This record gives sequence, structure tokens and C-alpha cells, in this order.
Amino acid sequence: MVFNTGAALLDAIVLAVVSMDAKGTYGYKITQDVRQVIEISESTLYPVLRRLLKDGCLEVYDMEYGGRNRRYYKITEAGTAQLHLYISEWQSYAAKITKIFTGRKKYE
Amino acid sequence: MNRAQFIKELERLLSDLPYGERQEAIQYYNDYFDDAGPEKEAQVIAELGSPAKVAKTIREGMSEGGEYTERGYEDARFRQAQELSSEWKKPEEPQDFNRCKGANPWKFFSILLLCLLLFPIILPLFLAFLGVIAAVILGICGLIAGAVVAAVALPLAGLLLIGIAVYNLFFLPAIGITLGGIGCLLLSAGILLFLLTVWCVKTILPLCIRSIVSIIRYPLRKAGIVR
Repeated sequence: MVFNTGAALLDAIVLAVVSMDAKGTYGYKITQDVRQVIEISESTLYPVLRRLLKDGCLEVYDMEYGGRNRRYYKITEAGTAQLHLYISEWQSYAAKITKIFTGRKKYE
Repeated sequence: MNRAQFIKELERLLSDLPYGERQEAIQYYNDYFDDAGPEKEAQVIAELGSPAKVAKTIREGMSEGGEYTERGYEDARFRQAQELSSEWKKPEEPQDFNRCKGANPWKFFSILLLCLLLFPIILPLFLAFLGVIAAVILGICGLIAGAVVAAVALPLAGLLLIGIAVYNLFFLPAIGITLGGIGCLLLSAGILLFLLTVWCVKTILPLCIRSIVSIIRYPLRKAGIVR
């Protein structure tokens, strides 16, 4: 990937991935889903989840799975609001970048 | 290194974190291994790198000031240094992993055994080391105290001599002028010493303290206890 994913975009992607499952999802699956979109090392995600948790954007609960407790991450209302903010910001940002990229063709 | 060793080592590296934080992290990585399944265990370990690397990421996530990106932790203060080696070094990870492979528990026990065996030697050496540091610090303090006293006493003596010289000038001009010259010399020597002392305290002392701290930090940093 040529472009860096900054902290805000990474937060937004993680929030979006977690919000796709209304019941919440777990660490391994979040990592796999995020890795489908961007290159990220496996150890990077834990601190991001921890921070989102601290900020109140995510909440956790444990649920029995295959004879053990699995920790699930779920988006909170504050997290949803934050995600919507990220999405609208991204859309205006992406629209501007696209405009300037496609606009260049006229001069080439 | 297998999963159990990995988790154990990670737990050891995080042992100074608050209990809750450590448990959270350990639970996360235990879950991670469980969900990846035993067949992917080696792959996950290789991808995670070493427990030290994971511990470092967790630690950095707890300190403010930096931010996480897809390339891992980034701190504006260190960005310049990082950009010099900006490519995210994937090939290095397996190397790192090999270095830790199998060696760690043995290394730990042998170091422990060595420490026990060498205890009668290490303790006096350690005390001697402390003694040397204390002596150096006390010596520096003594030097500074002496210099300060001299820096105050010399100009005082100089001023006194000049006073006597002015008095003598009326009766014995030759002695008066001589005393006056000596007084001026003492005064200037005192001022010079004072400036020198101030300079020493301002530049040399912090340098000494910094070098002592870095000498003590060196083994700790090597062991990955402090950054």
C-alpha cells in the first residue's frame, strides 16, 4: 500500500468492521476483516481496540463459545456517532481527492 | 517457541503493568490463538513476531503522544528517525522469532543459576559499584563546595587587601601599591573561579549525571525492561 493509514482512518475502519455485526465480533475476526482492506500487522490491532474501548466507542462482553469464554467487541452509541462522523468526513475528503484526480485529465 | 511459551513470555514481559491491563492483553492473545486454531498456531506466532515486540506494542499503546497506523506505532517526535528506515520490515520478523526460539527458558535458567553461583562475587562487586558511584557523586559535590567557598573567599580577601592598600598608600606607598596589586589579582582570580564554577555546574554536572544514568540504563534497555 502506497498510502499510509492514519490513526483516525484505522479507528474508522475498525469501528465499521465491528459495527457490521449487531451482536458484536471478536478479536481474531476483526483482525482478519481489517486485513482484507489494509496491510496491518497482527499485533497492531490490540492497542487500537483497547483505545476505542477506553474512549467508550466500543464495549466488551464475554460469551461461551466452544467450551471457553470468548471476548466480544460491540459498538456503542458513542461509537456509532463517531463512525458516522468519520464516514461523512471520509466522503467529503474522498470526493475532493477524486475531483482533483479526475479533473487533471483535462490538462493532460 | 509454541503458544504456551509465547503467552508465558508475554505475561512475564508485561509483569509490571497493572493486573487488569495485563489480564486484558493476555486474554486477547489467548482468544486470538484459540480462534486461529491449533493448525495456524505457528503462523500466528511468526506473524506476531516475538513476545517482546507484542509487549512493546501494548506498552506504546498505553502511553499518550503517539498514534497507531498500519505500519504500527508512530510518534511525531520520532517520525524523522523512523522515516530513515521507513519500509515496514517484514523479513526481519522471522529472524527475530528464530532468535527467541527455544533459547529463552534455558537462557533464563542459566542466567538464574549463574546469578546464584556468582552471588558471593556479584554482591561485593555491586556494592563496590554503588560505592564508586557514591564516591564520584560526593567527590563532585566536594569539589563544587570547595570551588564555591574559594570563589567567595578570594574576592573577599582581594577587597580586604585593596582596602588595606588604600589605607597604607598614605603612609607606605610602595607597600600600599603592592598590596593593592595583589588584592586586584585575588579579586580577578575569584571572579574567574566563580564563572568557572557556574559553568561547571551548568554543563559538566548534568553531563555526569546523564552518563551515570545511561550506564545504569544500558543493561535494562538491553533486557527490554525500559525503552
